[in-house]
Amino acid sequence: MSESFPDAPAGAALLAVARQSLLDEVAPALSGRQRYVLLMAANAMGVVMREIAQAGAATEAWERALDGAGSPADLVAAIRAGRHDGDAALHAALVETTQIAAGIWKAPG
Amino acid sequence: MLDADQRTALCAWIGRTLEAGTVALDDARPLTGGSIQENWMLSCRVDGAPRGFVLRKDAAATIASSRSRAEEFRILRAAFAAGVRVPEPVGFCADPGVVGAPFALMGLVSGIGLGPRVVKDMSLGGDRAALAEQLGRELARTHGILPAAGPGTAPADDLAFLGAPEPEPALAEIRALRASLDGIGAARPALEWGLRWAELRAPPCPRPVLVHRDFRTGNYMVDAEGLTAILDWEFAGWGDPVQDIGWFCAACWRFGRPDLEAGGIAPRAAFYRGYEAESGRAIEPEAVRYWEVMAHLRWAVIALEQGHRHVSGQETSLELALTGRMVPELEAAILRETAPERWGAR
Repeated sequence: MSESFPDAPAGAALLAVARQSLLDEVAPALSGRQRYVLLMAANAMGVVMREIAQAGAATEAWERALDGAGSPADLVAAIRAGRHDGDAALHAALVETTQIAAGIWKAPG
Repeated sequence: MLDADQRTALCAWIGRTLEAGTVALDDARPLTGGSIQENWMLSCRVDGAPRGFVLRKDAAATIASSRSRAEEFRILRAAFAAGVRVPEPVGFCADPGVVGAPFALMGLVSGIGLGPRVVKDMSLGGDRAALAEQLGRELARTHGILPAAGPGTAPADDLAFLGAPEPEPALAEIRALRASLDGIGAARPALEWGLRWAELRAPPCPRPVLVHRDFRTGNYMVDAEGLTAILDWEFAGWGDPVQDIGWFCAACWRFGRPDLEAGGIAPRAAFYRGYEAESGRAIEPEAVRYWEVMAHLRWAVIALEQGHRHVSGQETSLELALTGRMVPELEAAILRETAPERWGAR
């Protein structure tokens, strides 16, 4: 969030406290399908929190992976055509984008 | 819900199918599980005797690669005839007028199927090595169902709808996965990397068999003693038997027990032992490893398709939305197994 944005807590922090409140105060009173839905919602909120925090790194990693290939669709076409077979640089870049995205999906550690 | 007319029509249909005098429906309850079909548990009295059934029909949205209920029922019947432990196939009703859509009716089997529960709850499934060994045997029996290839081997005309086996099932699978990605407009370079790797080392398949294509923990049921039924035959077709072995053992289907390589329930050796004993064929570890990469690729594409059902607005669902977001974890596993040093000769 921009430093000039005056309202606090900012989005990610607000989401974090909302998520924690649901887990601490609501989840214990629920069971069955309702509890499952609440835990899924908390999971989704965690994904969004990490996505906000990692947005810059994710974009940069994608730019490195694309590295002049054009759009993701262009890169896909090039891979299918065999122009990146065993390409160590592309593999390393894809590992990086994927690790960031996997870390957004599930908190590392 | 079933309305009064549907209940009456359903009882009449069950009566005709079982050649029973009277059928009463005491209870009909929706069953959880199954994101692409709708399942109901029916408690009936057939000529006065209590009998449970599962009624299975298509849900609102289906994914492109799943078979119709009618085809799935025929596959179930072939598996039952081959001695695979499956729910008894009772009948198929093509008339949408009975319960609002065509449906399959099967005998009710008790047990728990939910993957995480089966893996974690040690009061279920009996001895886990024995369970894995039996699953290996059940899979081998499934793989004993062959495309019609001469007297004594024909699986009956019932499976003619499956068509001729693909001469190169791995390549066919790769084509289908690419088409699925294109169909939902998904540009996923990491998956494409894996697909290209798999394309270059696609194994031949000299002996196609009936493959289940979703044989994994979560798709069989157990009670306290052990296995009660193999479920979810909707993806079955002719293919490479190693595909099912790779799918069962793939790291993405171990539900938090990565150390138990046979579906999160036992060491791989127990599963292999059952399979090899029943089939009389040795399992090649390198072939399984290839199909484990393919398993991650296929599950990633299915997860994207499920996520797309939400993203496209077809079906608003938090579950589907989250499923679409888990794909990077699968991509990470694919990239680990297809590092540049593994692009050399097969």
